Amino acid sequence: MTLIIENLPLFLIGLRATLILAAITLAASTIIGVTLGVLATLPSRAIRLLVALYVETLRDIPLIVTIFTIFFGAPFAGVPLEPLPAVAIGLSLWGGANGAEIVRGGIQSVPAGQAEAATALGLYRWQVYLKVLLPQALRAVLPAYTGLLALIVQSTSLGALVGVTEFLKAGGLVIERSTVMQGINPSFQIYGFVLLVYFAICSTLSFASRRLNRRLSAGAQGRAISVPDASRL
Amino acid sequence: MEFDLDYLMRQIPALRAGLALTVQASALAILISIAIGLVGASVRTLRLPGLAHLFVAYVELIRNTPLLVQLFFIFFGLPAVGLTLSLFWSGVLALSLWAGAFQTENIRGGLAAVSPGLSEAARAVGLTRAQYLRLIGLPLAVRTGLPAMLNTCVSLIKNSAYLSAIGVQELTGVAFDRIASDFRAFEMLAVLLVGYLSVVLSLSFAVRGIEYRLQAPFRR
Amino acid sequence: MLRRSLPAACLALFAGAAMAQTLPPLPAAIRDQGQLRVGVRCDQPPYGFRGPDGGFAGVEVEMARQMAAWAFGSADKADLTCVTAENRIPQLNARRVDLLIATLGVTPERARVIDFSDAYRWGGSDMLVRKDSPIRKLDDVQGRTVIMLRGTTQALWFDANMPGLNSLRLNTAADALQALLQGRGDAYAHDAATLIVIAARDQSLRLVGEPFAVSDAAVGVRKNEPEWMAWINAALARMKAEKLYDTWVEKWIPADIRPFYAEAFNAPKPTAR
Repeated sequence: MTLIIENLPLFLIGLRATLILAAITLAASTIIGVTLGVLATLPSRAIRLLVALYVETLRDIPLIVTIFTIFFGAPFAGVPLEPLPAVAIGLSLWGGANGAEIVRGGIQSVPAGQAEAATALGLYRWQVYLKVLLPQALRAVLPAYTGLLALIVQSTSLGALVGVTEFLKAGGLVIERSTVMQGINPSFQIYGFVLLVYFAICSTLSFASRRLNRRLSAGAQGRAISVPDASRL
Repeated sequence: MEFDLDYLMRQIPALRAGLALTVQASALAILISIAIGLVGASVRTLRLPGLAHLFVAYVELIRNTPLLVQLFFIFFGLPAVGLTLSLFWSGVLALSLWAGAFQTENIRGGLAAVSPGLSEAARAVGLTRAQYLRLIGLPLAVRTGLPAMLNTCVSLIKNSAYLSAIGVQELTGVAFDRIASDFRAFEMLAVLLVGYLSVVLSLSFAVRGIEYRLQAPFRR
Repeated sequence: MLRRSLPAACLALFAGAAMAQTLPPLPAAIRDQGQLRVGVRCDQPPYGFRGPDGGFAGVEVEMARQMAAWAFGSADKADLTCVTAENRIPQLNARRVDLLIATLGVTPERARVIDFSDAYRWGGSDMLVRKDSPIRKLDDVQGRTVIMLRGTTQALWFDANMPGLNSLRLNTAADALQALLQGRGDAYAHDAATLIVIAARDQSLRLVGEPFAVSDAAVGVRKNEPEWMAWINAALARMKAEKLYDTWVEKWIPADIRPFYAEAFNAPKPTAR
């Protein structure tokens, strides 16, 4: 519709912010996820418990509450945090928790013989992880990880609630302008448009995730790793 | 950072009312979403023309779009085409549609796990496909899919927090409203964190317990 | 930057319009930014809203631009950020902006977390209802649903004075207006200044007309920034002395509703509930 075309620059600004936020979150989630995923497979029970505690906490608290906690809590703790970094941190902590589960599943899916053989050959534990387990695990988790990326893209929409001008907020601004200045209400079209764009991006990622899953299962040696479903959001 | 316990105590009535709303909305949405799931799974399995495709599109749409945008679309967008639901019912509808998509997949997965011999036997005995579903297929599917279904219900309760974004005064909404007026973020956020953690954690454990019990006949 | 001694600056301030007025020096932290980062409203005409070209518009936006001109030499040095009633103070404290000129009413709760400058205007609240609504005065809303924005003085007032009221709390003026038009509530309570503009544009709505919750509006700054506060107060005093408010009211407000706004900037605060 003409309204969408007129406001295309604003939508593109929003989309850019969404993608940047998703990229930052993906990078940070990977770092956190791989670290915690590895820790979760160590023999120490205490470490595994701590990791499980972190993962459970971040997955059980609504993501909206996590982000608001960081956004409102940071200034109170003396750390000034602008909206975009606050959302990035909140999403990364959550994404890292989910990533940890995926990576853990990936490492555990590598047949035990691999690690045993590597240790028998004299490799230190960190070498076993770096050279044998992780390369195989990370290849195996790629489909699940792509699924997680789709969820991360979806969850960036929460940034709208704390003032980040991402894609959903851009839609809201367009509606606001039309409502107060022109008296028309294009909510149906604009939010419908926003839905379709998210659908286009995320269904592509989901599709890629399923294709990867099929390709990898063809030659897989270990268990398939469950793709995080949006229901676990 | 001071923690004003007195302030917190004064907010308890409002927070309790918010929690009641959370429970109400979640309960209704759970019931509706399971109903959607049963219908959707049956439609897909029976391969009803047109309707089956509708459910496929519905599930894909829900899974690939953010719940927040779905909520805004229902609350702000639908009135423009004539469907104006109250705040509460907009929220319940959004949660129901969202969870309904996952319940459809959960029950469908359960149905697929039912051994084909059963449906063949049912047909041989003279039952229609609909009767098979009602008497044999769906009950077995629900039993198999129960853990997944319950996990979706727990996620629904957790995600009822999103309703605060359109102003529903459920638990999160009440807390955010207080923060916006009184700026006591520490106290309110502490309540939310403790509240959701305890509810969701205990429910998750309960689900895991049920899952374990259901596996009993298959464990030697 | 003007670097005269403070007494000389004070003398200059009171010397009158004939001599160019000088302001105290800008704090180093602000000066180093190179621009003035201000939080303004984007959904509240006539103070802060989006103009026909989509850019920032309104009387408070003019104030922000004038301050940028005095601080950095050009109105283009104003870096404006849209804020809502809910997130304006967190954004200030998060250092996303260095001051708020965002229809910020002075309340004791807010004074706990930020500092207020001298008041530059007062503002009252009113309610918007549909033309055929039975609501004729403030107390008529008992037992009905009132729409308001989270974190506003209206929200505080209704919590304190009508605690059992059924209130629908949304995030932006546009959402609230839509909710009223869609019949989700019986009245929309907000700053009278904004409601007057909306009512003037929409014939199906009318104002209830009983003012309440009158409060001063001031510029918001973070706590413990006395140098910055001094500069802002001086700038506000200069705006008043040079009668800049009247020019801006003339620019942004249609003639038929102008007197109300001119009074808000120039006359003292009235008493109301």
